[in-house]
Amino acid sequence: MKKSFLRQVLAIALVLTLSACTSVGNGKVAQLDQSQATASLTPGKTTKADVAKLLGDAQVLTFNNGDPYEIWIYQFDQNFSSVLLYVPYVSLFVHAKDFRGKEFALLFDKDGVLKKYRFNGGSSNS
Amino acid sequence: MLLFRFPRRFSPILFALAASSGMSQASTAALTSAQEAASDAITVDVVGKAPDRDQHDYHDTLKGVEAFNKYHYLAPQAELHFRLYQRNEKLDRDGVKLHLKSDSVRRDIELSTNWEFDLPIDAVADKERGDLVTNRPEKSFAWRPSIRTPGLPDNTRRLGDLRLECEVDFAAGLTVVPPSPGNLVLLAARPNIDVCSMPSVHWAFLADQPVFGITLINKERRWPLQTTVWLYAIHEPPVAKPLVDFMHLNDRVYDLPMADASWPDDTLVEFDYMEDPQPHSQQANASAAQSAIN
Repeated sequence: MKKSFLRQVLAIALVLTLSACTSVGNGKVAQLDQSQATASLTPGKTTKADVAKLLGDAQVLTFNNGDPYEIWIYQFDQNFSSVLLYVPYVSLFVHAKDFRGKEFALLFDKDGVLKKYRFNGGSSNS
Repeated sequence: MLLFRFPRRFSPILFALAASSGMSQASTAALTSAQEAASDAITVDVVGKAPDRDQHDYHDTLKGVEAFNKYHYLAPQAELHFRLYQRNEKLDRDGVKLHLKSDSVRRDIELSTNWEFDLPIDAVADKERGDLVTNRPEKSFAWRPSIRTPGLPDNTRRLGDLRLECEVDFAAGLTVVPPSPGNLVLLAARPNIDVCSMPSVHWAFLADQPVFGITLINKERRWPLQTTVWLYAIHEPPVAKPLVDFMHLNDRVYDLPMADASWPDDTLVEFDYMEDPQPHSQQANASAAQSAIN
């Protein structure tokens, strides 16, 4: 009984881990830094199509409450360790194990024009 | 809170069902006949269950006050308030009201423009198991504590304030959480365990407005939190989404490394909102940030 349950938990963890490792972007984002972003991207002018052409497909976040914005996310490290594990026995919400990798996030307005962008992540000790 | 007030919340429904199913066919027929006969002459007042209002158990909320006093050292300069957030798009935002109600008590509670309120302390209402009652239907609001150290810039919060909010929220049973077995165990263990300092526990805080990014700042140390880990509860399983109270607010939901003691309570949590602040508030924030650092 216990072994069966453990297998189920591990299977779910494996599936979520694999799905978390789905890559986005065309690899160019790994070389992107603040100065290159400043040179390549212009808030108020750059469009989603421009960004897709530059960096490839992103992980896209939209909101279901009428919020007009759309967020695109690129993870820097293709092998990032975002182990997402739903652990119903210890967590009030989904347990997302600390992910120390970096990401590049872009905010687009309702017209698909870049509003702002930011680099996130890295070690919490940095 | 559906999880804990099932017997009270559903008692009117059970009563109504019992009443309707218990009505005999004979009495139903007699009533129908009488109504038909006098249909032109009488006005029928339909007496039934009052519509359910969005409300929260007063006694539970007072447990949040106890938690605030117990953990006040996390935010020694802050006061305790509570706040309502719009939970669904259908809510009529005009004229929202709140009152404390028990068998012998009815006290209006003043709401600020952002629906923040101070909790009245009323021993009689507590003894009578009163409720905090809004004038809106069930599931209209997400109920939260609001604990803010004064003098901080508008686009920042203090980590200790938010740690304390978690303690109060959990003790008062405000945030509606999925009823998983683990969550039920944690909820049942209140107040004997400090859930908010457990590394495996994640909490859904609500920002004042839609948020694009969050940076933790402590002296020279800065950590821009990853969107894919800390924002929008994007990893919440689809099956759980209807069970929580913040999915309508998911563009302002965030989590924090509350259990990471390397980030002290004085850590600033800086918000990069989707909408840029007005120029005058930017200047005010810069002044406040300088004061906070000094």
